[in-house]
Amino acid sequence: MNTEIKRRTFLKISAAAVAAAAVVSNFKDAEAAEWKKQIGKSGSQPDPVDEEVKIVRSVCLMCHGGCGIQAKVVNGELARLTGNPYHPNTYDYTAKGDIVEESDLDAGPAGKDVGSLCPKGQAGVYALYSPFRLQHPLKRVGPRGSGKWKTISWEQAIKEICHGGYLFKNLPGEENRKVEGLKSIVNNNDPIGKEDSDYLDEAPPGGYGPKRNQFVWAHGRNEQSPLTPRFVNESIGVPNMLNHCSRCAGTFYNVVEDVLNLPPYEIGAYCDYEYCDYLISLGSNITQADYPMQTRARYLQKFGKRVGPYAREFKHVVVDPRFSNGAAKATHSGAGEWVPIKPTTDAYFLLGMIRWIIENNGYKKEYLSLPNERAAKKKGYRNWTDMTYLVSTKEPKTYLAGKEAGLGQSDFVVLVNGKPKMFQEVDGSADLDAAVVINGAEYKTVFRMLKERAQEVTLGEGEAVCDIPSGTIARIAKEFSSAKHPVIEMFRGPVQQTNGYWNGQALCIVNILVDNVDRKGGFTPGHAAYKGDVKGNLRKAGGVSVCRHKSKYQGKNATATRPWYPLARRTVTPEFFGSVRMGYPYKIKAYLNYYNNPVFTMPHNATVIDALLDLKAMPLTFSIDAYMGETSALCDYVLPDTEYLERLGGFKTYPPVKTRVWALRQPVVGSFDPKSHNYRAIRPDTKMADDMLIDIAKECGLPGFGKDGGGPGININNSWDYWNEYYKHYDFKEGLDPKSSFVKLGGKFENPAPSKQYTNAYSSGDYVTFPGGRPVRALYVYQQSTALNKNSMTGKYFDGLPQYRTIIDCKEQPLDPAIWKEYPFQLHTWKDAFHTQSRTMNNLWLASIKPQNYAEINPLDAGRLGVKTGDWVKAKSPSSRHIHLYHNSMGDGWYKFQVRVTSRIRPGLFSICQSYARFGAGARKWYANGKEQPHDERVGAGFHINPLYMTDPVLKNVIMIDPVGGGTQSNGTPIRLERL
Amino acid sequence: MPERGAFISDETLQASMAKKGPKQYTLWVDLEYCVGCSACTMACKAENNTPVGVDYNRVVEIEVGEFKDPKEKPEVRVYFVPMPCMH
Repeated sequence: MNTEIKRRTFLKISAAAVAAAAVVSNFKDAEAAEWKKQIGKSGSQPDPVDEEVKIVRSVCLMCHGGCGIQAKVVNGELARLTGNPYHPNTYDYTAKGDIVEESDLDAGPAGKDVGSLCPKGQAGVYALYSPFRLQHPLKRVGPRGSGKWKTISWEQAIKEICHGGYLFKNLPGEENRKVEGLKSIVNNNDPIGKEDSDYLDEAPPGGYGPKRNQFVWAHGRNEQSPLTPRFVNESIGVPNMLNHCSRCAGTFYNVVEDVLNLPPYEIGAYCDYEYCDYLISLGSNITQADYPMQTRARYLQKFGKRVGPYAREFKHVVVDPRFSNGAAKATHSGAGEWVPIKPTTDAYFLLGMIRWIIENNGYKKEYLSLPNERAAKKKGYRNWTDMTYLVSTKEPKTYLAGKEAGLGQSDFVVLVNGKPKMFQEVDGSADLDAAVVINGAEYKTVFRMLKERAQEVTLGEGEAVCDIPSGTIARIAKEFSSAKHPVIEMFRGPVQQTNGYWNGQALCIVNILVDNVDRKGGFTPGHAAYKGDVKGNLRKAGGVSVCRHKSKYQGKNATATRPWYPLARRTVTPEFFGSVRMGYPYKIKAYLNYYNNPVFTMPHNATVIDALLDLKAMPLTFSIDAYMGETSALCDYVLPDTEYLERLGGFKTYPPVKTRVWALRQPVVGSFDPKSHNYRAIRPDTKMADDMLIDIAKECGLPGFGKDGGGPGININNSWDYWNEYYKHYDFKEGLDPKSSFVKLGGKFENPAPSKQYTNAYSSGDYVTFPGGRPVRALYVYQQSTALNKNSMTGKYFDGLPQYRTIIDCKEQPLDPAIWKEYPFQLHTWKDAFHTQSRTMNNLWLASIKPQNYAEINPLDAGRLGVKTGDWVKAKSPSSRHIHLYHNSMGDGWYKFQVRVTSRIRPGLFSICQSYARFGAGARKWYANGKEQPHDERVGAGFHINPLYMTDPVLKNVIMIDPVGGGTQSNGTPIRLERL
Repeated sequence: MPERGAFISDETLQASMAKKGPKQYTLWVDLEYCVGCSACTMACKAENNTPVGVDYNRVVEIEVGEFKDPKEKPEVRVYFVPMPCMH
């Protein structure tokens, strides 16, 4: 199969298919001669004078950064993707003032205002025309995972999924397997009973909820919100909207929301690069990863280092086990530095910094002594902290309340010159480093508790654990706290760990100590996007989610069979796959996989594969996917999605962008029926996922879609109906009117003038104004909600402050030190700038940049093992086991790898870049109607990390998980290496 | 080691553009800006619609120095060099 299929060739093929189906499409086939002529003239760039060029502005989805894109479409064919110059992610137009009309910029086909786009974004052209994309709905005709499929009609697919029956009666072993259809599952409102669960003793007083909770949705990259949550939480009405955040950055957002006191889902905190003069990136792969990658890279390189007011003194310190591209840039001119910290030891580095800063008066005393809004305002500050609030020294360690202290109604009590006072009554400062005994019980200020915690380990001991030169922590803490605008930022490194929540909390505290939160040039959190609305008579989700996120364990036994995650705002999806086969907490009946690939992306993916192959544990599984992804390949049905360039929707942006944004996603190719607004994609038998969900909802008779789905007289029969209605409310008004600036500009963008981004209304210094406005607020160093909750596996309270810890299991026990004798290496992972974690190696434009990855090791280890670049080694972890889907599996848990020796990796690591070695999405052969489908070995080139992850020593079958934030232990698994 | 500030300023560029007579264009790539992301590789590819596996513009990564002892300050440098075909 020749997969070097150029989009011309491909279009010819698909055009023929369109003609055969007698469907009129709005794209025209182009002759090769014409194409050559065009290349001779101006490459693929359309000639704005001679040719019919259409510009469509939409949102990228090659990653989750939400950059605006500008598509040049020639004769119905997508020729080129660049950045949308109206979108602040992709164009630095801060000096241009209001951008509300198309004429505000020269953004036409040959315009001077051109937005930037990263390699992934530009390769979206290949994604749209990829030969690996699915063309028709598929039903398996062999056992799950057999790779044998047949194409079926949409009518048959929707009917069988919704109504069930003996769906696979022709398959050996499934003759008598009756599958319950979605319609009866999702409309069953009886409570989950003993026929559904062997663990009713562990249910909360209200039970596990209605039986419809036996429907589970799992998404990977969901940017169809709020349509998708409407479908799952409000139309079907279940709490089981599982996401990928556990493996991603859920803990980061969770801890930022808690400590910096932000509304949920306002997406993290980053540095305001332009005005920062000292930046520490801890486990944050800036310039290669994080959101939005190209925006933050540009802000750092251009604003921070070149044109920013502190460009001369700017110092960038990269604390990372790997010499990332960010580290390469930090050290490029000799000004920055790389601190090659050992994975999992972040708490020692961060608490060490806290210790030095407290002991050496590097903190802002006036600021930290402010107990309330009035005092803050008086002294010219916008926010204040809980540092002076008193906390009980006895469990549960809550803040001391006014009534407990015999003072009156107040949530917090502080000390003023040693005397307890209700916090709201204090006009000026309160005592910072203090303790008091009230009615025989001892209370300490948060600051005192933090100081005592930080002093549990000396800097020297911490540096030994971090394995960095002695004196490093003190030197960096000194530089940091004496800088004008210091910031320490993070991404997945410190938080994707079992101690992740506490690591993230410690990092936020380091920032709080130097008063940089919300500051111009500081640590700026949150981004409130513009919002719309669709009304309707909707259901409410109730009960407990299958992964027990946001659910407190209240069972009859003192401890639970498996962990509950009361503090995790995002789902803990690996734990769903770990518990579904034992039917914990209750059995499930249907699983819908949307744009998701846990079989490939979950650490210790063997468990996910086992679960998906289990017909009893997961009786009906179907997947919405544009490709035959690894997970789709193990499902019963696969419904072919359109690519992101053929969808409606929208997306926000992230904190480094300080203006408010909502970008519109709209199809750049294909066509809408002028009357019904049904969308016809360039592959006519594929559908927008939105349309599939609406069809399913209508077939099942669910509220919120179909006739009057959006309220009386508002029918929601397709994606266009929904988004057109959504864009009429709150911050929007014109719907999808093609003449509106919203549609023409590709979104709604706030006036980007610098004067709107900062405020000088506070005498202590400038603050960021915040997109969407940010309430004046308190920051919480101490996490009372953490301290009030118990670990369901031990019955003991969690700690409300960060702790000196490395890897812990679900009972918060450290790993057995003996493991390291047998498995002396540590697993480590990172990501290239030109890939996402899992869905870009099937884009052969991107795959050609680096045809394969290697397992990377340090020259020291290479010398000890006697290997050089290109040699082969074998690796295993204490729990890796054979997965037949991997070519490099040797059986018995050993996997073989080709190594690359590099000083970019610190000694002791076995480091594997993500994204490579796919076994789906075109990497392997599969069959539809007995015919081989497009595939290419290059998609599967390289090596993959996920089979190697170590499982929790207590639970045995699931990756180790942070008991508070729910994040996975993504780095640091013990590994044994041998030369082959 | 490249020095900070070793890049072409807007003034130099404008002065150069203002010169009269025939021009010979040069491609000036400021390596301190380059983060090695390969966006230029994809831009070239999309612009010229080259087949898969043929990239006219690639980014070369040069690693200098060796780091083996975590107790010492690492002296490693990595430079990214975009290699356009100059057409």
